[in-house]
Amino acid sequence: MSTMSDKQSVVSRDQLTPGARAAKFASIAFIVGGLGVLGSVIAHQVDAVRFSFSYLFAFALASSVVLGALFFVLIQHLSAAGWSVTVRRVAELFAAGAPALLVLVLPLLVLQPNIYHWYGDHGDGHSPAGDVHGADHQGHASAKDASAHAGEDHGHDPEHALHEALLESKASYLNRTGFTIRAVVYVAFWAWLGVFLLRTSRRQDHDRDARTTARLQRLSAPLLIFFGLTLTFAAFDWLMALEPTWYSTIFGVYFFAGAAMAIHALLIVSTLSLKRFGFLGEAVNVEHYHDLGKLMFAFMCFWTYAAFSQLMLMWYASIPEELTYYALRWRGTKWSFLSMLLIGGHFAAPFILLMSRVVKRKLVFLGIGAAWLLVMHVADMYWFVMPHASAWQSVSWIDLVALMAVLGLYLGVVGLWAARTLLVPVGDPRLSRSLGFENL
Amino acid sequence: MSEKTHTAGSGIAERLSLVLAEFASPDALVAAATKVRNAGIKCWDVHTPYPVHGLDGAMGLKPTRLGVFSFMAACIGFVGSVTMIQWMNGYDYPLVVGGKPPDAYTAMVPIVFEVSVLLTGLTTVFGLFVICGLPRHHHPLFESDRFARVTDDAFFISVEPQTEDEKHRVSELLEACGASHIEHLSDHGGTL
Repeated sequence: MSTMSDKQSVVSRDQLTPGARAAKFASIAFIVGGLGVLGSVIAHQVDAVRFSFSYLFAFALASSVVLGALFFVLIQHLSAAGWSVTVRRVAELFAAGAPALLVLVLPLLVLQPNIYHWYGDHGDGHSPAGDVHGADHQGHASAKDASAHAGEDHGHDPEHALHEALLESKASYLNRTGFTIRAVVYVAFWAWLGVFLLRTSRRQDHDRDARTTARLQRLSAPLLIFFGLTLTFAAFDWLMALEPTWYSTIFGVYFFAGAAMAIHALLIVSTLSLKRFGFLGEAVNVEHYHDLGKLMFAFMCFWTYAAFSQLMLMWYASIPEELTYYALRWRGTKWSFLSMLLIGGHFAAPFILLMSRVVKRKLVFLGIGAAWLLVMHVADMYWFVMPHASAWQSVSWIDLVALMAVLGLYLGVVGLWAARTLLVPVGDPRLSRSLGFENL
Repeated sequence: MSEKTHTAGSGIAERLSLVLAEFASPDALVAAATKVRNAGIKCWDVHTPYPVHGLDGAMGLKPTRLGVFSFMAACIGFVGSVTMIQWMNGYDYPLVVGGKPPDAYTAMVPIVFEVSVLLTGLTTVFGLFVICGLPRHHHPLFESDRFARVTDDAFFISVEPQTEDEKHRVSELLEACGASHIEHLSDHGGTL
């Protein structure tokens, strides 16, 4: 149709080449990341245990963004989506930041004895999570302290023996070596996949080979299976294993739902920012935002669905080893405030405010909504990790420096890719469909 | 798309008559739709084999009212089911199951969700029926042999003139818009 070529000519090559701007973004991100690393070194000296948990929180957050981006790109290829072509490249850039995780996972591997307490640790301290019946020594000063007490407290405790027996039965999976090997495998796969998806798509910018699109569609089905497996097991290893006696079969889905919502929110926020700096032009317009908004809304509801499915079954069954998760976070604990914030801010309020088509097509509202949901996603990751650090600790500078270090380095890598990449896959055969896309 | 048929079907007179104009391309159709709209014609519709971009705007279609009905149904479902459960489980016949409070909100969620969704879904479907004037077993459009191609490769505008006078005016207008073929149809079978 005639309208498509009109729109195509509206977008100039300059608007798709962030070049120097992206390089500047990368250096700012690396500076922030460097400051974060410095702060992290200090934080580790001040409170090694607290810092370890803060670091896990930041690392889980960055991983969730990478995973969300990988999912977005793969699912667009698999479903041969036309509408999303002009926003896919930005998602590819976020996915291609995955190699940063190869470096960022190393501190986690070093810090893991501070965070996870599995069979064979012999009184190496419980995480407070394991101690619903011994809530007194939560809020420990240091790991050494806590471990010394834990050893004494539970010397003749039959509950403790039971706990140990449970851990022993899981020891073939939950052990330091297994954790390390698996973490490296997950991260290596994501790093390869992120770079592969961006490189392949970028090659198409030059050669305009339509067969690349068909090939990516074919490959994305098996890749999504490996994606799903690594995501699920990473969620088990890194977050669910914070309390090794507790388990939830929907936990991977839960983590995934949050990540998928976050990437749609991030795409909205990042492309709006790019437009603000004069990039993308009409390549990403209100029609694309409307769809991104719908998917963000849908995954927000899906997150709620997964979260509630887990809660309701455990609440109904009321089995002690399942309830520990909520015993840490629910009524009567200091963390219940964060739980309530997530119910209201991660679901109820955005559900009502973002439901209308009018709101999703009004970019100011949609941008605010997406930014808010990103904040809620950060809160969600915090809620996953920090209740296991202690019964209550307010947000501190330690969280901030860990976050700066991880996100700074990750976004720096994303910026480096962006500096040498066009912001829209101009060689994609479905590009004109995306440019002329309208919601009907 | 079916909601649009409402515009043509709402003023069902004793004898429904239609002016049906065929257009060669979607672009010609959009241009013609703009002119028909500007001429101030009320009861008319456009028929295409696939969604044509820009047609809604050219026709001047207002956003559907269906969403309002759905939203009200969702609210009724939500409030109704909460009230029902609270009254039955919390007040009229409180029963402790599994040591849970009889009026616990956690247990209510699935039922409240299902009732709200069910009521919304049914209201949306049957609301659409009402708005579109369904069920309707026959329409003069189907008297036209050419119209069969509307699901394949043909583009049409149908107008339901209110008076004999308007019928002539509309025919001339559609002709001026570049219609490749114009037919007059009536409810009593056959092309007039």
